[in-house]
Amino acid sequence: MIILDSVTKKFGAFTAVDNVSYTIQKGESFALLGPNGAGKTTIVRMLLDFINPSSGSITINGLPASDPESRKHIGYIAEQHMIPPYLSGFEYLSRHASLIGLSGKDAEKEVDRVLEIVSMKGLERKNSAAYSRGMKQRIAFGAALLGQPMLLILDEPITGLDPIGIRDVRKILENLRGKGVTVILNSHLLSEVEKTCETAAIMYKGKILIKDTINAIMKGHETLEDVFVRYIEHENE
Amino acid sequence: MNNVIKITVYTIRDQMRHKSFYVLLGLSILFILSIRACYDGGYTVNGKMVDNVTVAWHVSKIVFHLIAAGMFLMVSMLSMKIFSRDHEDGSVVLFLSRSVFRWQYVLGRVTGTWTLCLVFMFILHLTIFLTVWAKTGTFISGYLTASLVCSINLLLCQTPISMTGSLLPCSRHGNAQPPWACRSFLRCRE
Repeated sequence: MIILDSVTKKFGAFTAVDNVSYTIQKGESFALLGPNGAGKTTIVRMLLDFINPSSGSITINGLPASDPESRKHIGYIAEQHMIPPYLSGFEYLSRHASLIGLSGKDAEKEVDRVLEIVSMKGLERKNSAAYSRGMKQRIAFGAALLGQPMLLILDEPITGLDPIGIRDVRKILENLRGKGVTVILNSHLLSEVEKTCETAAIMYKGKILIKDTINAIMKGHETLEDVFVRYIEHENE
Repeated sequence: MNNVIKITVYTIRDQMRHKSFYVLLGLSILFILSIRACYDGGYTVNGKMVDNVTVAWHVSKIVFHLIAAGMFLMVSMLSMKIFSRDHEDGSVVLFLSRSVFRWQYVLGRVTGTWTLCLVFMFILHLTIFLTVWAKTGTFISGYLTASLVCSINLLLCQTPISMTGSLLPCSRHGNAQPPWACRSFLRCRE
């Protein structure tokens, strides 16, 4: 379970996240929506302790986010995920596997497993500098899936993927949902969010405008995009 | 502690991927071997004959310091970009998105770079040591110990440079933190 309690993040005079509080239950597929600069990525970075909240607290499975133990079962894909250009996909995944405590045959098996899932088998020995953006994204997704994570934090995971890649990611997420894995998804592709997530929050200028199940957010024949536009336009008025 | 060792090993492997590392090591050894002729024959200094063991001792001392000076330059260059490069190529996310403490990451990177420079310097000093032994049949006592002691100076040089190197971009963003607060200096880069 993830708890954000009155979390605020300020960069100088600019408030990126403004007094945000919400709880994400175990096994929940949660989408964080909002226009550019809404504060979504800042929240993700605070969850991973890349940056500190200015005030408030974040707890992941009972541990403060500042405790590295809280990241033990987290898989993460960054927006525009970078892979060191001197590493091959296999080496990159092996390093991740090693850092989560896998070694020897176990690590190799696990890396092979995720390579199959992300359809990168046979390409893993190539230097990552030779990978396309989509291939890097697939490797990043593989790294996030290593070691059966209990929480996946995906910041724009389908950016750069072709339609087949997007379909694969959707299938993987559906599969994980069945296994009780909690997913936090940051995405601009609202149609994908509609298909893969159960709950969503719409953020604007650092504040949560609404957090509910996707079915409850959408009224009548509205799509998620309609709802999103309605909320943002209402705030702009 | 396990993570520190892992990151140290990764750092050494990553640095050794660069061909320039081997070129530099090869050139340095060639330079050292090129002065081996100094250990041959006798010398006359101020009208006094000086045996080749004494000459070898003095030449070795000079070369020892030349190597050390070169290593200070090398360790400075390696340390300056150690953290900024990690930020640029995504390595920092690789480590810190896992259950790795910041101090483990910093210590692993610093230790890895230091170990590499230590080994590099030791190989060069060992080359001198063996050359003197081959040419004069004598061991220079304390030469290799001095090399190891000198590597502590490398560490003392490397640590503030890597800390400062990682701090500078933060200062640019107005988020400067003292380097001893190594918790924070990686954060403000994100």
